[in-house]
Amino acid sequence: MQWINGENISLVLFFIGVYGLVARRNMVKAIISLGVMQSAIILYFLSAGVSVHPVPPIGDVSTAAAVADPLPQAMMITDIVIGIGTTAVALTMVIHLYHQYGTTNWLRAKWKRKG
Amino acid sequence: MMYQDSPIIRVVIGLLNPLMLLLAIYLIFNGHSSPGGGFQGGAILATVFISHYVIYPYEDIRIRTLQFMEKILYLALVLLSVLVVIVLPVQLSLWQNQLYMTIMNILIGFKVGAGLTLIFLRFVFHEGGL
Amino acid sequence: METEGLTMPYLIWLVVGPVWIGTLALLLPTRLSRLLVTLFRGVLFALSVWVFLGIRQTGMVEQTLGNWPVFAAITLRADFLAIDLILLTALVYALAGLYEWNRAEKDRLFLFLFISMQGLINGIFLSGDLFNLFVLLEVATLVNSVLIMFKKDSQAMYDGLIYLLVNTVSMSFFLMGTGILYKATGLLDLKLLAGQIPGHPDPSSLLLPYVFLMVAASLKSALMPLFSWLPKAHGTPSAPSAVSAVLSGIYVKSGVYLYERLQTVFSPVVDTRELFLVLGFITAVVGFILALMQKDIKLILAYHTVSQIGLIMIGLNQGSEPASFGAFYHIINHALFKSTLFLAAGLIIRRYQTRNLFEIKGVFRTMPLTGAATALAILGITGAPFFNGSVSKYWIGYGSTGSWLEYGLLLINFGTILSFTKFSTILFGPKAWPGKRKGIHTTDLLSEGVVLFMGILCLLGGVFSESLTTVLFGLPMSIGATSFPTKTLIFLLLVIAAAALYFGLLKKRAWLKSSGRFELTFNGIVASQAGFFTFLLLYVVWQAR
Repeated sequence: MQWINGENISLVLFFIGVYGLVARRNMVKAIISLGVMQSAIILYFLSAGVSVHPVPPIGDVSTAAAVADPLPQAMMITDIVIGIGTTAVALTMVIHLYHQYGTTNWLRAKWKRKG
Repeated sequence: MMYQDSPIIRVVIGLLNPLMLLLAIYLIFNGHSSPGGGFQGGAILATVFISHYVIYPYEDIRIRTLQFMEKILYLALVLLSVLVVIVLPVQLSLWQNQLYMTIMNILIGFKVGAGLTLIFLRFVFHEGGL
Repeated sequence: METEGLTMPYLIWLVVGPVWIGTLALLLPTRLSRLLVTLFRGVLFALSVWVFLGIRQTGMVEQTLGNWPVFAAITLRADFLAIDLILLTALVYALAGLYEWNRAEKDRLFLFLFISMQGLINGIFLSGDLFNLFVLLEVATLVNSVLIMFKKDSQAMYDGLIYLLVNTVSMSFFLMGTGILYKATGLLDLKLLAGQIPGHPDPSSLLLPYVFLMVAASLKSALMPLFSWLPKAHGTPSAPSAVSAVLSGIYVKSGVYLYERLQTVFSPVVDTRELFLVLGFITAVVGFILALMQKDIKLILAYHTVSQIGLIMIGLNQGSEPASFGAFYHIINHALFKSTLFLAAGLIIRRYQTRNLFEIKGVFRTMPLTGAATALAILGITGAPFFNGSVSKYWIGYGSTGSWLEYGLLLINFGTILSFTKFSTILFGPKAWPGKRKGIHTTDLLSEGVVLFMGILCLLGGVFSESLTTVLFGLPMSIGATSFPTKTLIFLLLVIAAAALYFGLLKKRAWLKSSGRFELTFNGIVASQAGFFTFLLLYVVWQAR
């Protein structure tokens, strides 16, 4: 049962996200798959340094045995912000594409673009 | 709109709104010494406005005002950081640092709240064309 | 060059200064912002030169932000390679900014985004740790995808969306690799990693992050099979020419820079140099074949960038120092000629109101300055004697005599000459009739002057290559007196052969005239990325056995 820890699950999630990008022809599903991939990465970072019963790194922690690592937490906050920015810009583009080509399907948009 | 005015959502969001607002302000003001900070508080602040829009879709919201406010906040952010980092090269004491961080967190929080609300409103009011 | 660098507290200005000035430019009236931004680019160039002089003394300059210890802080580090690239960025941006001076429709948003992009690229070259690189690359992706859609042409959205999504996927791979690396070593900083990895107790745990990171670096540097996003992004009709020039000249080199840093850090554990050498060769060949099949002048240039990146990869991966320096010098040269060509192409498109290669004729007579600049850049990129391209190509091929690589390089040079023979058909012919097309008839002297200046730089870079490279790299590079006649003779023979091949045979082939671009869908692009990931993983695991 020790195979089910945060890191392995996040790797599985990551590749589920990649599968969603490869196999689905809807543009919105592509953006959702990107979100899944980013969640997987956040999970990986946060579970990478976990120890048993860690204490949050606030205030005076010299007496506690295991302190949670603050560096991945800070990095992941930045990553969530970047994810929001990317998703917002991508969704705006998808809306414009939908109004322009009338479809959210990658293949149909490619045909209409070539013509 | 798609669905009629749903009483459940109206009541629940009405109950939760003050709590969300309080949580947002708490996160913003305590960003320098506990988890949270400007960005997280700003995101919850945006949630307050967006959820208010969900229950009562008002069309006459003034987007220009919100954009103008966001630009002013961004400018204030940049000016303050330039001021403190460049113009005052002295080593600040602890309470001065805390004050600086708190003010920056407030500015960031309001800017992010305004920005995310604007993104949402732009999506909703997009009637077609650019 | 791993001496203790001197701490210079002004490196941060190269990154943050442009963004602040860009913010200021958003507020001032347009004419004042334009002046401010252009002057500031001169300041940036001067600052880069100052940092460069500091590096010449000590070998490396660094700055740790916030006085935190190195493993937790954001460190900016500049060594020779980084500062050369920053100088190049400052130069190309200054010239591209001057080129865009007269475009009346450029509003302040463009100025802000364009100069912020410069700050971001400076930051990418200066970053000392992996997460900082990730953040800057992601923000650069966002800004670029807005910039390439700036003219709001009809095809803009599709190209921009594919560019954004593909690059974000590759950055997700990068971040995953960083995460696994952090778990394995507890470090993110590149210098500390380089020190820690040779003595690492479990090298096989480093293979997986290496593969993740390499997939991301390969996509950003547009290697085979992951280059499909590049022609769409660089050659799209809706990108302003200055943006295409900067993207093709500098931003794609940041992928190569990332690749080189990662290889240096991981080299004690994983050795994939031969694989990337072969991949670089395949990229170069496929690049020029696809370039030959295009009829849009900007797309020819964009596909050709892919080919040149393959050439740079060949130079980097040979393992010999002269070849590596040849590759670095080629990065600089390619930035110069490609941006000249893109800017000139922009002027030509504005004048002729068409992008089709076969409809544009007689540039020498209609726009003499632009035609001269294009001719100088073409001579540079094909490696004509006395031009800078010949020096860097000679050095990339150093030490490869006798092996298959020498013939491969000849083939690539031939392909380059062939594709630019096709491109140079726009230069000859009668003067364009101004009444037939609703073009812009007034000549834009400032932009044409800038383009001509850049073309002359290509010539000067070749003539003064020894002194230039001594200053930039510490290694004097030029074509030796004994090889010079041989190389000139080979060049002339190749030109004659290419002209014969093109005008005799290929011009009449219908399949070359058709827009035969094989275009992958978005799903195809991500599938090829996943396939490349699997292939690289299997290769690395098999090699470590």
